[in-house]
Amino acid sequence: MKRITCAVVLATVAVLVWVATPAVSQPKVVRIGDLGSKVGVFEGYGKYQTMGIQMAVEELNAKGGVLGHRIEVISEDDETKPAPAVRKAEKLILQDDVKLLVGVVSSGATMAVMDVTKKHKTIHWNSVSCAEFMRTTKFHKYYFSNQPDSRMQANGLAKYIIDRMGKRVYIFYTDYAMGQSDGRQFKTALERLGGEVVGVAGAPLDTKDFSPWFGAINTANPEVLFLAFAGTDSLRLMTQLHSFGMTRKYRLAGIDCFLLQQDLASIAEPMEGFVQLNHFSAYNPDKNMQAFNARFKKRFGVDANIAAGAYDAVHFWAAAVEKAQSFDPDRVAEAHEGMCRDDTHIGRQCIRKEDHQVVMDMHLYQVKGGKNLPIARIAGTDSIGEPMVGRDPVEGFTWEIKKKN
Amino acid sequence: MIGRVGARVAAGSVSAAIALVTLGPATAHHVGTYVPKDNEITTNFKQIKFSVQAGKFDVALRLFETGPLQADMRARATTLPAGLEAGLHAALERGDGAEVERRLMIFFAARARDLAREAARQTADPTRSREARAAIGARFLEAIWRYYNLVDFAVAQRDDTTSVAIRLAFDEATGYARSAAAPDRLREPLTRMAHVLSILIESSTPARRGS
Repeated sequence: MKRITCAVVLATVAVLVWVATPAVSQPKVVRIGDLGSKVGVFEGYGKYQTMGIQMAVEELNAKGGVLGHRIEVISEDDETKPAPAVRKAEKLILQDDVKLLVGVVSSGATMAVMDVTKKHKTIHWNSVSCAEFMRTTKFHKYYFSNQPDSRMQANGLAKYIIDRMGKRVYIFYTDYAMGQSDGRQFKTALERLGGEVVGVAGAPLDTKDFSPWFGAINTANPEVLFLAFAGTDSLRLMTQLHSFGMTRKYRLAGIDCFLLQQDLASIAEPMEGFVQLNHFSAYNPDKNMQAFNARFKKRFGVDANIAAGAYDAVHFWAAAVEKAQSFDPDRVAEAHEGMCRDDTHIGRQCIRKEDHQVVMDMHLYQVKGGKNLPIARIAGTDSIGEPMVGRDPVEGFTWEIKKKN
Repeated sequence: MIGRVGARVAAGSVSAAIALVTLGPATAHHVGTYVPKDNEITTNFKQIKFSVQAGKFDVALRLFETGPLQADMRARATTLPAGLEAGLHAALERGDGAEVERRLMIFFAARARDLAREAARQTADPTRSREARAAIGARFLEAIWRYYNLVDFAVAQRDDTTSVAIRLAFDEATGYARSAAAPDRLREPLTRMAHVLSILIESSTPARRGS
């Protein structure tokens, strides 16, 4: 009887060991989500976001992952639309149990996804979208960004324009959310710094012929023409300005959302001399950018673009998890706050505690021969502006022209 | 060659100065942010594309062999470069992602080109009313963008001037299609689109590849 009992116990132990063995021998896994435009015109951002994430994950996994967990990436296409973006974000969080969500590309979709990451308490990094509301009225504690938003870009650009290009500026914008946002941020920044807005005009979205506005611009006689357009409107506007001789007559500037980076070469001549602000260019001789770009190019065979900020998003998150010693979103979010990293793709970056915006130096680029070449560096502390969490960033704004004597 | 087309597109865009089309917020979008609803072919394309990107060529091959994309490719074989489908199949078998992308780009560019040609023909039909021609134009443009948008990035990587030319022409045509007053103007950007896509297909299909 004793022998039988002993055999049963041994057999039970053996079975338990057998059952338990695979679980012990398999590495623990933590999943992260990569959500963005993976097909279509904005694939240039969504695809590079994926590559940035992939590169960071490979580096982290080579060093043992994060908190002893191997990192797995799950990529989803948001179709560049808010509704699918929300659906895919919920799938990544609820079904795949991702502990970090990086995305998305279009600002409208990013803001929609922010509601999901807030509801489900998921760490959310944005490395591409630049609308001004994400760190103000839409902000939540799990949201972080290392893409300079339109306010940061307007602040940096306004300072450079006043110092180096001219104080009399005409603002020409596309009259819907994106153009209004860029235009008002720029007007606010320029006037605060002592510049003079000599005229503003909004052209309806999808305007085919911009020439009716050119007379007013010429009459105002600005030194600088600030353009807040996007997509094919930008392409068409630049072509028409060029054909009217206005690209040579005025100094032109805009924020980075003005043109898809891949379009620059094809519209090189009208864009020659155009000044825009951003944080990364593969043509920037900055040693950090060159070092990062060399690794990126070695891994993927192409130059990186601004979406490569997703690389740093993953590294920040991994460092925060290690600091928190947990994947708990509240603890990881808190661990992010104030964190600095010296070895990001553009050098040192710190996360501001109040609005989770990365304080990052930006660079002004001038288009020469179809390439963005650096002309100045703007300190992140000079452009980030005050934290405005929960406040309307355009409260009290008016398009009224303040005439200077 | 394609560069000259781009320059002509730019000039055309300026000369088309007459139609100032304004849109209500409901229809407001930029080319690129608007993505038409998928059909079974575009869905199949995305499945294949994502499988290839994940390095799962066996899955991609199965999806191709059993999906509507291959069937559509066969049905349209006469309008496609010779051997396009066989070459795509072979590329999937040997795990050549770049070649798969190139051949799919050619296929969807050809799809968009044929739709643009047909749209130009139908919207110029004088027996139809202006409203009917504008409505036909809008439907065709939706279909053109459904296919072209899938491969725009692949096109831009090869020759961004072509990508810009197509987007500008599409954008212009969309404006005309939304206005019942302007269907006569649709023919020019549609014809331009078909022409640019023809050049793209031709230049992406060197004879020596036998595809």
